[in-house]
Amino acid sequence: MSGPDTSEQSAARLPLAARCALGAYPLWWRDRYGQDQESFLEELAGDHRPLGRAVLDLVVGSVRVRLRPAGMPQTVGAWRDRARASIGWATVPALLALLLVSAIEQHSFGSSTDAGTGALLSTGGRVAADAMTSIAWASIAMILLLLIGWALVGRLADIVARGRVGKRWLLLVTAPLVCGVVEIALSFLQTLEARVVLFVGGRSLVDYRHPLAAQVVSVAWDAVAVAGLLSVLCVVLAARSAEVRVRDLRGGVWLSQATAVVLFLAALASVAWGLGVTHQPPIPRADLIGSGPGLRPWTGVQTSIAAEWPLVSAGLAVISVVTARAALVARRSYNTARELLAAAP
Amino acid sequence: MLSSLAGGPKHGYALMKDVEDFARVTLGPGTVFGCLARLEERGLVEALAPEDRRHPYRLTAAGATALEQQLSELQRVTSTGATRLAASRRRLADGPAGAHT
Repeated sequence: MSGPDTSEQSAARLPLAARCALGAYPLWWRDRYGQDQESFLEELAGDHRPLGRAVLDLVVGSVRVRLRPAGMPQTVGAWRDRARASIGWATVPALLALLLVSAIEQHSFGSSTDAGTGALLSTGGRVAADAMTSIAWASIAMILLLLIGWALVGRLADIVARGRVGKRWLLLVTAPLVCGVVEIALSFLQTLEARVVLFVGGRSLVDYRHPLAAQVVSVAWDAVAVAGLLSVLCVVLAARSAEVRVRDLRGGVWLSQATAVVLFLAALASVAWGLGVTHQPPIPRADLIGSGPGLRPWTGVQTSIAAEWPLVSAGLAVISVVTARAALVARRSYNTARELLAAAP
Repeated sequence: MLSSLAGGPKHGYALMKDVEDFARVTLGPGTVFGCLARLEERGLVEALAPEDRRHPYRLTAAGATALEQQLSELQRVTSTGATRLAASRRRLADGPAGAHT
């Protein structure tokens, strides 16, 4: 090796995947073992060994370190950062859960059963209808929790804006809030099936019940969801570098616990919904209210649900477990940080 | 890892190569440093001053004692296994009747 080589220069020579894997470790770990691991990868590459397996090992190792932080220094900062990262792990996956829940709500089962043909529904069908209502409430609760979370993160990002990161983050903080409001408005439109007619110059331009208008609302929903997801990722990046105090995290800890409970209930409801729908005998198409040209035949919907619900429920269950674990770690880390703070001279 | 460090201080990559040579197991960086962190937490190894951005690690006195205990445990298991294997081979050589006694 010729001449002094800084950590940044050597890290820049590593492939992007390796740098991402190294960045997946907590800050205290990177301070302590980051350069050792970089050197390890460089020597591995120098010996012409494949890096893929090492990168995978780093990813698994980063998860292990986050679950069991062996050798973590007993400082307020380290435990505070661990609590902050855990809050992120407990709340951000709720966005993914929202996408899964919206996949459930895409099916026309809700509107069909709300049509009032209760006599046609078996016990399974009634269970599925109740579960669908619970899922709708769970999704509204998740959106509200995310809004509260974004407001909290917004406060953190405000601190960042006063610091070294810059005011551009504030724009990114406001984007999820706007997205959240639009999402709630769209969900009300979809839930109430309100007739939204936009008159311009005495002529109706948009009719929500029109198939094209419904399509536009559906695409808008997806676009808003993706925009919200991207914005939250940016906010998470901003919050990573924010200087926060321990007490700033108290709300986040409560939020992560509430998110874990809501996600658990949503996972249970999705199982009830799937089992209920698959045990509902086919309903004649003529008996379905709202069976317009945009609706698929009921038996087709059932076949589709039967194939999809185990995947959706499994996805929600995995997210629920991750969230619950992260919420637990967030609570413990927050308490430890407070104890260390109280014990400090 | 402790057996490798018993041969002298090593940094992460040298440790991995040494373990690969004598144990025929290839360890990745996540595993190596995860293990080193746990051993360091228990006071069995310690990091020395960094050389060229890498920390060499060495066995502590507690680490040497822990290694000694583990090796004697392993030795007891291997010697028991070897003794029983030899007896089993003798029974098999004596024939089916001997195998049932």
